[in-house]
Amino acid sequence: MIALRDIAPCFEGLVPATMATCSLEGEPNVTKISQVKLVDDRHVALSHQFFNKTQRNVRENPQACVVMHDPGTFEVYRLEVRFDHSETEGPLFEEMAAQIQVIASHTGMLGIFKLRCADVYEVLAVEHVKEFFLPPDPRIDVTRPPAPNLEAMARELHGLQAVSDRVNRTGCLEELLEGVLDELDCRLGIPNSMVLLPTAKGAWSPLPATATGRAGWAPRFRWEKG
Amino acid sequence: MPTLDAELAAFLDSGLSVMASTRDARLRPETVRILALEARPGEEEMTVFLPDAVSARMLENLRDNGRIAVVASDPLDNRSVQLKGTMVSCQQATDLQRAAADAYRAKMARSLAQVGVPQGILFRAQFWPAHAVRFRVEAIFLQTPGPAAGRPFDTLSPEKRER
Repeated sequence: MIALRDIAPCFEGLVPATMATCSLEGEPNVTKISQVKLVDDRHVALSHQFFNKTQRNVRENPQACVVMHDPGTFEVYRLEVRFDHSETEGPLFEEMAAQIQVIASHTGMLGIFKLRCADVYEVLAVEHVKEFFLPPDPRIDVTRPPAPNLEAMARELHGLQAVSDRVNRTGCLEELLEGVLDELDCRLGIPNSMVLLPTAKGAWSPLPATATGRAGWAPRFRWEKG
Repeated sequence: MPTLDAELAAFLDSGLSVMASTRDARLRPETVRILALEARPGEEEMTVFLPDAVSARMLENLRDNGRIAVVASDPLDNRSVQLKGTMVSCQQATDLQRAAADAYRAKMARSLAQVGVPQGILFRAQFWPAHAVRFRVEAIFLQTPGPAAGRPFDTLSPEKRER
């Protein structure tokens, strides 16, 4: 069986997953799922913002089928899963609730999406649906880029979180600018930045920069009063 | 039996992200992405094209019990509906149907491109040959994320619902 960690990009939530369930009366149901979270090597958790047919179905017939896409290649993966239990508090729930707010803000669903429960499923089988795409044609298909470095991606995400935290904690524009530039440098290794401000004529003008003189640090910007 | 009204038929025909689901005799569900469908106003039936390359289980399930659910979503604004019904026919799709299916896939590719899916992706999908599965629509539900999700379909427009 394909290991769940080998399809980690599918769990980033960039392409919505789809879940099929079936009632005891034999009526299939299919729905988009906002978030599928990798819990461990044998379990995934699915977010539920509203009590719905999917939840009713898996409580009477725990068998379900989930289809996910790799967000980089759009390759299709099919998971056979079995409902295990539901969580409405605790670390898994809190983490998924926070992620749902991020997804909601990206998809214009802020205020509509609120995690009601995280349903945990045992994964019985993982299948790469290779037949979804035509076989690669070397005459027209460019070579795929190498698989992403997950550790580097995690570092980048943590860096972005740090930048975002710093933005949240700042009280004025000067602090904001200084803080963001510091975090970009220290966390993401981006020592050089250019800040553009809109002019009265609708064009963009760079803020004047002065170097701090500290070796290895970014050129700093003096916040011009007025 | 519900009839596809003009609003719903136009929505379904607009190049949506579509998934279909069936189940086997042991109530194990199955789902695949669908790249083309035909829905006409005033009709009680509609057709989905199941790509042969990925639909062996779906077709087996349909021959077993005929039950099918189809969810169609607009990737831009998340408006969604789910249609449930029973298969009335399942045949190898014809060349005539291919032209309409190609047009639907092109519309779908344009819709998905607006949310960042490269247009070439759908054209790399093996969507033909396909089986044309015609089913009688027995229930329609709103599936747009929000408190109204799961209710019987009335309209896709929240403004109309409030009036």
